[in-house]
Amino acid sequence: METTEKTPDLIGQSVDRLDVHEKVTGAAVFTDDLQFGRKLLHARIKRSPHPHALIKSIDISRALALPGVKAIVTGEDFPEHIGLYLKDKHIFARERVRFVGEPVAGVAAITEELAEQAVELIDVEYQLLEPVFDPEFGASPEAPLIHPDLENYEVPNFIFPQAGTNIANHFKIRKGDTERTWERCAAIVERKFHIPHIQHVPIEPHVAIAKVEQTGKVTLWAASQSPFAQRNLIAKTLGISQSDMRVIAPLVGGGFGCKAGVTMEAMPVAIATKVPGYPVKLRLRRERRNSTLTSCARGWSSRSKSAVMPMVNCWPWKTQCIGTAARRPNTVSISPALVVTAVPARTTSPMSKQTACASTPTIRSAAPIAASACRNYTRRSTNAWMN
Amino acid sequence: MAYHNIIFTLNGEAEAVVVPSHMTLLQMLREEMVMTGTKNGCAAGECGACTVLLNGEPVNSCLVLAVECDGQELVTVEGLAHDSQLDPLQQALVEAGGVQCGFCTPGVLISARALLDRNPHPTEADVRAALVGNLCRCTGYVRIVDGVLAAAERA
Repeated sequence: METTEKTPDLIGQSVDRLDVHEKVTGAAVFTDDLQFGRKLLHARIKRSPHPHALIKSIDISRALALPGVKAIVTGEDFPEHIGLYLKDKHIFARERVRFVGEPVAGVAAITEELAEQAVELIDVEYQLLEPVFDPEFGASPEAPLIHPDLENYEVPNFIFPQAGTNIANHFKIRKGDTERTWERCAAIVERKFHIPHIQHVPIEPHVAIAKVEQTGKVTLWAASQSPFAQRNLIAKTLGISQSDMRVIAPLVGGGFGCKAGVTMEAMPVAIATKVPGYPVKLRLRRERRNSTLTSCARGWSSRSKSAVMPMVNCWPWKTQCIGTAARRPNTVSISPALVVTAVPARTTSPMSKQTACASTPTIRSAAPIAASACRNYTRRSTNAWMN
Repeated sequence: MAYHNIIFTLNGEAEAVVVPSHMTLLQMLREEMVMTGTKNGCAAGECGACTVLLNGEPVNSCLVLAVECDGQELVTVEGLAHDSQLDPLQQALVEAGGVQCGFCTPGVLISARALLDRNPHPTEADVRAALVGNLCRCTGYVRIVDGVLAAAERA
């Protein structure tokens, strides 16, 4: 009984955050606040100006000759793929770039200004390819293939890439029999919706510092929502034993999803493997973060057909969504480098590839009552977009 | 690259620093003084996370050169609490739940301090106007405004 009495009743109480006093006094430590001393190297990234191109050559000689430049890496140095689900990326592009801003080379130098200058001195020759800017076109057979060897990528068992297409994942959800239910509905609304890519824009920009000791032990400090995923994925891609790699995630100044999974955090680790003993810091400037070096929320094109029925709680609904893949940081330019087709799906037609749901309603009254407000929006479309 | 000897007061204490011409006040605070309470969000004067008081006026320290502070008075978030007592604004923001990730908080506190120093009894509109240059992505601002108004009432 004594223990029961001691238990505080938290319901209805206002409880301070555990870290709030540090946060209001300026004592809270975020990743960019960590101090690494004067041996700290600053990383900058050379990025693709093209949405889709073959890399013909990369000349780093002029940049390497710049005093104060300690290391330059390209895709040649890191052959393995990386990615949270579909392993479709390289830390630095190899052979081909697939979106504007894709990392092509990384520099570590003794100052940020020098790293910036070195990036300008890297010469990359490209052969331009046809880009893809629209998810629906990207999912169509006419689209140029962004990942010609999509089917060879490593994936977990819940991701379904479609070989010979740009479709990274295709799944269907079906329940009930929508087709038989439409005719009993009072009104049907069919619409198409588009949502653009969305940037998360945390006030704290992405920042990560990596250090590889002479013994091979690796430490990564990152503004991170996924320290364990980052350790697992980065270690595997770089051939580091997981027991030799540690990821430290201090306070995060907002993430909202964009600091989850793995994006820019792999880059300073990759560069740091070339300069053992030196901490290497990559801090994205606001305009960089807001372009394509990290992830953004996926853009969508969706078609939806739903209906209203009198006296029922459920109604038939089917929808088809084609989205650009968020974990690929491909924004404006080459959106559907990969296309997700998500389809809460319709009836049971095995023919329909992208089809959608129907929650079969319990129909209490089949009598269509006037739904004039909805009727204006009714489009008994004859096209067979679900079929 | 030219270097300059500058002196100023920071949170009430005299400081002397050597800075290159192009160094911003934000860089001087974070990198030279290792006063990391002031945050670098955009380095372009848009987010307000780096707001400090320069002679009592809130400024984006990313847009002020360090050399401009020669002979001036600076206050950062680290200078708000005294003698282990939070500033009433800090206390009110804690109680109102106006802090989440905490990255915008230092700038918010400085902008709000400047407001209350010149207008101890602001309206909600005054508070919102004073915080217009401080972006917050977590709270939705309502609890921040509540906290500033509560601090004003208490003073």
